[in-house]
Amino acid sequence: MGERLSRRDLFGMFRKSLSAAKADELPLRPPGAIDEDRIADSCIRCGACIDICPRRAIRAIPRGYAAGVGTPFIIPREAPCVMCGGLLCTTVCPSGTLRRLTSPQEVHMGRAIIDKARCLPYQGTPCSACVSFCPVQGAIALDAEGRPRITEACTGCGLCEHYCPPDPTAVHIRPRVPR
Amino acid sequence: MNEATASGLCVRRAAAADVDALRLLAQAVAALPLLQRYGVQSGRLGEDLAGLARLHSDAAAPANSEELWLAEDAADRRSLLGFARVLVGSERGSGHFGRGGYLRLIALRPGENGRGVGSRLLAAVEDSVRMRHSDLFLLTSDFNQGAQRFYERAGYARVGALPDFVHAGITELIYWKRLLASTTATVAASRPHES
Ligand code: SF4
Ligand code: SF4
Repeated sequence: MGERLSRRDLFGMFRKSLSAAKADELPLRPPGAIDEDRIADSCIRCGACIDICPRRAIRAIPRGYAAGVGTPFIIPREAPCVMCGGLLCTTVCPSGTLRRLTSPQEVHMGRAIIDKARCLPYQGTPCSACVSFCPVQGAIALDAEGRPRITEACTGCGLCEHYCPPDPTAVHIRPRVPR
Repeated sequence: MNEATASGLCVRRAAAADVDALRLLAQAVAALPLLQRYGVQSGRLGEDLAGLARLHSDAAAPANSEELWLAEDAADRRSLLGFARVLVGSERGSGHFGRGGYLRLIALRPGENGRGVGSRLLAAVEDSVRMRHSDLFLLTSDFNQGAQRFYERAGYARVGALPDFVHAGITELIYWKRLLASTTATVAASRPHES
């Protein structure tokens, strides 16, 4: 499962310096993650977050990538973060790489970006899959024609990307840009 | 491609615009032998589904405790392929046995078995419930071995039986799946979600 997508999503990841990398080339980190440039040193690769995630959304960056091997990341198209009750991964990290969060409103993993050339309502076909699954009130606003627009409330959980009907997806999560 | 979008299926929550299509789907589904055995009437089912769809679209409606999820062909939106109804408590600590959602029914249009529609609907229900609750419960009829196999393959455990519960002469089997694979202590210690 997922080999093709994993490779595509990981392609280019960490091959450049962080400052040169675009957000799209960075891995999507689980909720509560510290800044990207500190993760490789901070994470002790214990796998606690991977083990506790009820959606099995978190995986470890595989061998063969320049940096961050073994640190946690998420490919929403394959398995999204459902911002589970308790935000469990943020409660078990012993190294402080995932800080404890208490509500979904505190989650800032990234932000959904809509590809208008692929999104069905922008082509005149009704679709409401992303709105149906978005767990954050107000994160997706619909215009008068039913076309979705992402707002500042988006947490980057990736449920919309996971359930978006077109393949490839018309909505993609851009990871939080390092400060 | 993932399990949610494989086979060109679209799964989404019902909306007011689906009312006519839901009445047609109810007609088709009510003719299934399983629903016939329970005496389900298509008109009543159609109105129930239409009512849920309208509530989903009504921003002024109180928080709904029942969700209606639909499956359709992403390339051909003319007819609905199936639906799932799930009762969910509005916040953590509520819901069935104080812990979870109750999947009332997954029903597919006759002839739609075998292409993954039921699995897609079940995955959507689980993702929706998992945001609030740790567990999902459902009942299947003792004679419905196809459904029993389907839920067992999806990780549900048979945990009990209720003779004559819904209909005289039929025993309902209770199935249960833990959606938050964590210890009871961890779940109890977690905070409620405000959303
Ligand atoms: S918040 Fe829950 S669902 Fe999301 S990545 Fe963490 S453990 Fe998994
Ligand atoms: S718009 Fe998408 S990524 Fe953002 S909160 Fe909603 S479902 Fe999650």
